[in-house]
This record gives sequence, C-alpha cells and structure tokens, in this order.
Amino acid sequence: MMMGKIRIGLWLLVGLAALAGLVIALRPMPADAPIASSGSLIEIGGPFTLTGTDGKPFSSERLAGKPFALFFGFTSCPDVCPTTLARLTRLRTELGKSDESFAIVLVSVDAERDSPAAMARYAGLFGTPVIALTGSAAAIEQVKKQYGVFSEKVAQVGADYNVDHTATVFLIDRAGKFAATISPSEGDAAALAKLERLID
Amino acid sequence: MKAAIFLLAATLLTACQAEPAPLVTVSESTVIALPSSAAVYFTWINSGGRDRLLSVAAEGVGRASLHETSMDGDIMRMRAIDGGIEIPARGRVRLSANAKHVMIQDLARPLATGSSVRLTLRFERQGEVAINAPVGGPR
Repeated sequence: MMMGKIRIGLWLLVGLAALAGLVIALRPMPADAPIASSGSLIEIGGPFTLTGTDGKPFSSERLAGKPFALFFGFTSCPDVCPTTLARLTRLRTELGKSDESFAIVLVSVDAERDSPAAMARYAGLFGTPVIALTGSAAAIEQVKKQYGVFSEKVAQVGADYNVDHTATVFLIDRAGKFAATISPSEGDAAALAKLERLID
Repeated sequence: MKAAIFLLAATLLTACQAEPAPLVTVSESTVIALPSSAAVYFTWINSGGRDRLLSVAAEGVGRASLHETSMDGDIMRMRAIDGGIEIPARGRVRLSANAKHVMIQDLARPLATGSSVRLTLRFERQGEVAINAPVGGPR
C-alpha cells in the first residue's frame, strides 16, 4: 500500500519534470533572438560559391568582414522580389549610411532562366549596388538548404512558370553569422532597428 | 386575380431593386518595369453598382493577366486569378504590390522608365475602359 503511494508520487514527479521541460522548450523567444545560434543543431547560412553577374564563381569569402542582407528571388518575378529589393535599398538610404554599410545579396531560385546576364540586368534596376548571384541548380539547392529556404516551380499558361519561394530576408553579421530575419509583413521601424544592430 | 396582383408587385419590386449601372474610374496607375516582365498597380473606384474586372489587355506590350500574391507563412505564392476581381457598389479596390495586381509577361520590348503603357480593362458590366499607365522602376 505504502509502496504503491510512493510509486504514484514518483510518477507524478516525473510528469511534472516533463511538463516543466515542455514549458521551457515552448517558451516564446525574444523578438530579436536569432533563430539559430552557434552550437545549435540548425545553423543558418555558411560559406557558399555561386556565380556572379560576370559569369565567374562568386565565393561568400568576398563578403567576409561585411554584414549583408540576403534574399532569394528570381528575375521574372515582377511583384514581391523587386518590392523587397527596393525596400532594402530604401532602408539602407534611410539608415543614413553608405552603400558599403551592408551588402544586399540576391540569390536566384530559378537556375533555368536566370543567367548571369539576366541577373545583371535585374540588379541594375535598383540604382544602388545589389550583388546578384545565380548558379547551377545543384549549387542553388545547396545554398537554399543552408538557409532553410523553400522554392517550387508552379506551371502557368503555356510553357511559362512562376516560382513560389520563401520571401524572408536573412541578415548575416560581419563575422558571417546569422543575426536575424526581416519578413515582408514586418514594419519598417522593426526592420530598421534590426539593420542598425547589424551594422553597429 | 390574386396571382396577377402578386406577379405585378413582384415585377415592380424587382424593377425598383434593379442594380444601378457601375461607374468605374481608375487612378494612381503605375507600371513597375523589369527586364522580362512588369507589374501594374492601380486604384479603382466605383461610384455606381457592383462590377467585376474580367481581364486586362496590353496590346503590343505583352501578355497581361490578373495575378494575386499571397503569403503562406513565410512563403510567397503567386497565382493567376480565375473569375476576375469583384468591386462592390460604391466600392474601392487597390491593386498593389504583394496583393492582387496585373502582371505583364512576354514583353514585346523593354519598357522605358518615363514612357507609358496603354491598357484595356474589360469589366463585366461597364465594358472596356482604356487607361495610360506611367512606367517606373521598382519601388
């Protein structure tokens, strides 16, 4: 009888401990906390090699020591992609810092249509430096994987297609570490605060 | 007799309730020109009865169609709109970035900033409305 009560008590303790663990695991993260930090299982970002607008390999080592904002898109995208890039260039101006304060990097999710020349024409529309990168389907897939980015071709009328894709902007600090994200739905004030922390 | 009176009353009621004609005006139109495609945004005010934008044509410019961008979590999805876009009586619709918009593909020639594009909007009730939309860069 006594042993039975002790056993029930012990199980209750185990249950409470499990519940406490769950509460800790599910607690909301502070708004500016990185999604992943060094040492965690999921590391966002990391070195990559893609193709620059000159058709030559572009290694992420060229961005070493410089913060950058990285966005995935494609040049046939007339809506979200240019809006996001134009917003980043506008925010960079609003920070009152030079174009050198942080780099804006566009990675294509459309290896099939986005040649280096197409990327160059697209990047040239923003009146400010934008590093536009493309590459082989395999190279792009690798970078997408590093950033946990989704993209998918969606057939349209005729032979045309759109590409649905993750529209998050990834902010990488000057040490090459993932710092924060900016989502399309986020207000300019929050985005500016994140960019200010990034270039601080 | 009763049936005839009922029929007359129903007819009169229907006539009184007949929907007023739509009166659509389009303003704030802008074309965001990219090397291989373009997006068109505009505001559309209706001071009459309900109507529906069925399609858009950009003759000599490219293949225009109605599209909608929506967010599915952090994923941007874009789809062609089937069945047009409804505007309620005395309503206002804004076609804008990251929402419903007109997309022009297969551009016949690059669109120069500062030029304008003639578009024909085809409405279900009002018929065709032509607009000249100024071309600008991404913003």
